[in-house]
Amino acid sequence: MQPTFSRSLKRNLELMETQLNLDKNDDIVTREFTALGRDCALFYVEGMSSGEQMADFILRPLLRAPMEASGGQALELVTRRLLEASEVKTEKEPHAALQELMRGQCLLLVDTVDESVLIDMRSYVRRAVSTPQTESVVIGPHEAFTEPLRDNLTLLHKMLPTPQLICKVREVGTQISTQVAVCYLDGICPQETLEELERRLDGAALDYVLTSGVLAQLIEDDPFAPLPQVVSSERPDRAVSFLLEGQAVLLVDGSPRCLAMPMGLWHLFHAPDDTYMRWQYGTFMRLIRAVGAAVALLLPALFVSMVIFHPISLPMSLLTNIIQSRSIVSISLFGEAMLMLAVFNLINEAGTRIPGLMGSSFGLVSALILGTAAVDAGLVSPLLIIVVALSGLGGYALPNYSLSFAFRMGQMLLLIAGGLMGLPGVCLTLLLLVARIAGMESLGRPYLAPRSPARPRNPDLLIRAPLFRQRLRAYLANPDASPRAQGRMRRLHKRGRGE
Amino acid sequence: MITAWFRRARQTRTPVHSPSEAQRYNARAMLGAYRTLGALQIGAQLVLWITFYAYDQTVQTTWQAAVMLLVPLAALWALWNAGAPAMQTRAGALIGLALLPCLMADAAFLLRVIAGHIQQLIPEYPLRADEIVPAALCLLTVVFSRRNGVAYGAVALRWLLAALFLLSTVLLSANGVGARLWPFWGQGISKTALTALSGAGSLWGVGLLFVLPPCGMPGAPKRRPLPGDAPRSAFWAVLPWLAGVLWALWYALVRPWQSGDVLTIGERLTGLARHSSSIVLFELSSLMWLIWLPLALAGCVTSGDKLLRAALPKLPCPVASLIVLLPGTIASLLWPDELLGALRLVLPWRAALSLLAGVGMLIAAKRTGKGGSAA
Amino acid sequence: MKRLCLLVALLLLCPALGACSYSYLERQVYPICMSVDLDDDGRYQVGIQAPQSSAGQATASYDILTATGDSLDSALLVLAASTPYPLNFCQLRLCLISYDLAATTPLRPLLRTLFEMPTMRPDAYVMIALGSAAEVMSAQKPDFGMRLSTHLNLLFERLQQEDMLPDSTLSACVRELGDGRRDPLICICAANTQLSPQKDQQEGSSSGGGSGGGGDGGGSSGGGGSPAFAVGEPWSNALLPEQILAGMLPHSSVNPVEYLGSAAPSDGRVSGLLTAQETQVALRALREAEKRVTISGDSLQLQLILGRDTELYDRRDVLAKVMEKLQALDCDALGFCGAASTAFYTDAEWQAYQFSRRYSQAECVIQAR
Repeated sequence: MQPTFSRSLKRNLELMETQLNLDKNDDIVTREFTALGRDCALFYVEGMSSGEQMADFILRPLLRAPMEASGGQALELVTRRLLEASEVKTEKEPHAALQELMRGQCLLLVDTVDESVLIDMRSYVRRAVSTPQTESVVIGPHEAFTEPLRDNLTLLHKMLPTPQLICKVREVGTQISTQVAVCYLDGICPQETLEELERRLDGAALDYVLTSGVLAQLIEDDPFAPLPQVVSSERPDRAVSFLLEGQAVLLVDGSPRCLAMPMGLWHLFHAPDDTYMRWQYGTFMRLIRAVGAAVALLLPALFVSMVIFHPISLPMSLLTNIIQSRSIVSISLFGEAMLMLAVFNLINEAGTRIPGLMGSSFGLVSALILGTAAVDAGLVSPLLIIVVALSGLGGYALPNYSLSFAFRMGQMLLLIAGGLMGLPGVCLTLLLLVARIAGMESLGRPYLAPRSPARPRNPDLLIRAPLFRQRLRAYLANPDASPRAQGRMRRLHKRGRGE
Repeated sequence: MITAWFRRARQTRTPVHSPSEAQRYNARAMLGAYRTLGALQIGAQLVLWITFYAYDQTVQTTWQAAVMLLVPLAALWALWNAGAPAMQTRAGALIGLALLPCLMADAAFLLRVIAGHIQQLIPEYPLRADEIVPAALCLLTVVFSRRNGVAYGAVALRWLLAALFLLSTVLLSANGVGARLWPFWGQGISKTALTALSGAGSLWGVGLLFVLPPCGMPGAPKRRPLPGDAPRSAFWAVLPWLAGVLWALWYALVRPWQSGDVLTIGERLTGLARHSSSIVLFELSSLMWLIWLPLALAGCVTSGDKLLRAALPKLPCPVASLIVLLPGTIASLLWPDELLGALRLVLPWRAALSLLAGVGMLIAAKRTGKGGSAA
Repeated sequence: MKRLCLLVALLLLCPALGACSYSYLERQVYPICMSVDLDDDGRYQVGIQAPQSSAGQATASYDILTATGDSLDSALLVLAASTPYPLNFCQLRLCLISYDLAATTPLRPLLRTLFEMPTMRPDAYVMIALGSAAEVMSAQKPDFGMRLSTHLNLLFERLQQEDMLPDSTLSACVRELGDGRRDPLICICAANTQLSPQKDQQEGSSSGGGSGGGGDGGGSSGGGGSPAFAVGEPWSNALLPEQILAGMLPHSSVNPVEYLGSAAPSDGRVSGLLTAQETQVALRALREAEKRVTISGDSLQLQLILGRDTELYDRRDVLAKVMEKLQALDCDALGFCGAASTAFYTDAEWQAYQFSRRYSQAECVIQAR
């Protein structure tokens, strides 16, 4: 492709015909006309631009322009005096201009002008802002990101009306570019975070980045790690909290989830509700979640290892119940547990994929399979069903979708270790997992920080202390901007208010 | 005024107000993590020495032998503390290699004990698997944990281990009787002192508190010692010693077995726990060993890896880890019954090696200081 | 690196797969009680009482298996070989040693053999059975439809609250029989052949005591004047006849085995019996009294210091009699040996003093604090 547009409209039209495959592509509309005493051509993608607005604010002003302009003045006349659009810019490079055209902008070529004019008349169908699907809360905002990047940036600006919020839009993708906005709070997000993030975005060499999930896999520190190193959320309020903590937020055009880096394990455990509720309730919920996480990860492995290898720790009544319930089961306890977990995961996956109309009967079938029929057939014992169900419930208590997957995989691994080697196997494998997770990094920051290694922090990891005790930003922020409040946070005077 | 102080005290504050302060804080935190790991390693060696060697020799005066260890501990700490400025030199990295045989001996000891413990918990487990599986999992732990995973994992697990340790000593046994500490001097103070001398080898790890993490490692402190470092390093040296004294004291109070009783490794390890009043406490004590010993083993391997790669940067991590782990694994597989007896002769010499290395560091530090002042 | 990890994973797989040869939970035998006897030929007879593991039974029933061998180890081997499933002692609650065996054989080596068994539960109670341990074991049945393990747990808890049960767990016995600080009292039990409260206590003492004649044939002195107990009436400390021993309570129930009284060991063997009340007093003194020893030359004085307003001080005459009995049996149940050791600085001096030889002749004094 030639590096810049030509002054000759004919040559530019040939270029456009070649690049846009106009002989085959029926979606691109070309409108040729004469204005300002010269030939012009307007290109747009059908359905992405508003025809009415084009007619009113591009064509009519140009066509009715009485004057003729010389070559040098024509561009200025068109862009500064005639076009009645809110966003007008020029572009010399055909490649970039075509990118914008494919994104819904109108492209105007004028004879004797070697630049294209891009006019924003976008009006394609878009989903309205709705409630979050995977991160619902009881108390708090109920808005979620949508697919268009512009709408998502608008949501952020709405929640953070400050000029400190910087949104730099850049492109990723080697062949078909996707717009990605890098958002951060100036002065709060450290410069090295931004530099490293830019470096990683530059290094993402996929031909087309479809969604934020794909981008996350390209920029994370360790793709073989058991846990994600990029936290994603569909909630604008959560994105704002990430920004306030000094993280950089990435918004990908076409994806309703934002990404935030760097992050830690605690970001996956915290839910927005924790902050919106009073500290006692938030702490209580976090403790419940921690117990759920422990149950999800360890209960099947501990149950199997204790029953098979260490029955000394079980009361005789429980041991007898287990023996009696297993007397009709033909497979080993370990095999039974693996089978149950596999079926549970299968039901989970099927439940996610199944069309909505069949959802109610699906629940009935799975309950029948797992419940009565399997026990009656002597495939599983009732006690193991309870163990698997409890561990499943514990997994559902985790607020992060990726984390729940990681826990399910860890659960399987620990079950294999416990079933083959009892408590020593569980402990050795757990140590392996802890060391692995402790060694992980997110954008170079330790994954278990600020707990391990220590970093300055608020008492807001497991126990959620009252807000007036949380005077610091996260250690991820610029140290200069670490304190969030000067003086006391609750300045309630004895007499009156707000004096 | 008091309430105002309390109100101010409740507010969280940060000691970090600039990027340079943040760097220093982070470096200190990394140093703290490695010191936690080092303390766990020292504590494990000390407690195992008491369980396998010292108690049989001194019975009720084992705790006195443990108290006497404060002298070699202080000597080693002072020596290494004085040699700390040598850590950032190439000579320091090479001298640190002298600690490698100590790490190998530690690893062999730990692996044999872990295997014995597993054999006791699961008697029907295949015999050689007791050694192979923990060694293999430890190697995988070190290799997969990247640079600092084991150290940071130790920080994450330290409170759990502390709680389990207290449950396994102070809270475990209502059967501790003070009268068992008498006659007070036991077989005589000279016998106790001789036993303490052999136990000094367990304290060699004081050197690790200073050499790790190596100065060239990303995120590690660039210069040693850091300001205000002496009390911190002393704390991490004294803490495992206190744990050892407590362990020895509880052994003396409970007297889990008599001299002359023939016991397997697992029976010795769970000796204290088997006299608890609760099966739950017995299981928790087993849990303590199952977390502490493999973590100490992983610490040995990762320390060896760091020391080797500080001196020989091109050495791959798995190879460096294998150098520390393999001799102990092979010895444990080939001579499982004789290994502990052989280690009895070898383990006390760790202190001598650590002393020599400390002297080397001191000389290197003096030279570094002279070179610096001459410049 | 990848190859190394693969190699390590393969190395892990081989031994890990070998671990699949563990015994299934439901294919093991979990004895609740165990007995060790000496038969007439001097051979060891070991027995176990284990629940039958049939599904769907309303109440648990128990099987008794026994085996004989020249030594305890060989008897255990024969027992293990004669069961279709391996034995797992992790649920053992009670280990009965017959009085004959306990009186003639050093207890510590015997109990250590049991204690060091791989799956042995360390907090199982050791009791000396009056008569045949196997018969006592087979006679015991749980009350109120409970499981035997639950029945024993609850019963022992109750007895502990009343200070009727010394700490004679397997671990405690192994620990204390060897350390020379104290001779631990070991609980006794016997099957009560009396089924009616009106029966003559003399018959009860002759069938329940046997070679346990070290006791005072308890029933005979208590038979005429002791209050009668109806079935179901709770007994309390205040009503307990003084000379009661295991096998002598005038009652009837599903479980005829009683666990009252204790055996007093000396030099590692049982040398006599204490009644239930004597056991109670001794245990309370062990817990509440301060023990002091005064050594002046060859004379040795044992002092028990009690609080003036304690119940034990009010019963100091009973305590004095208990002390006399313990000294007569040469059993240092209260731990004066430990107290005396504090007067010496080295093991050599302590061993030279030979406290155990002087204990039975020492003067015992009870004082108020």
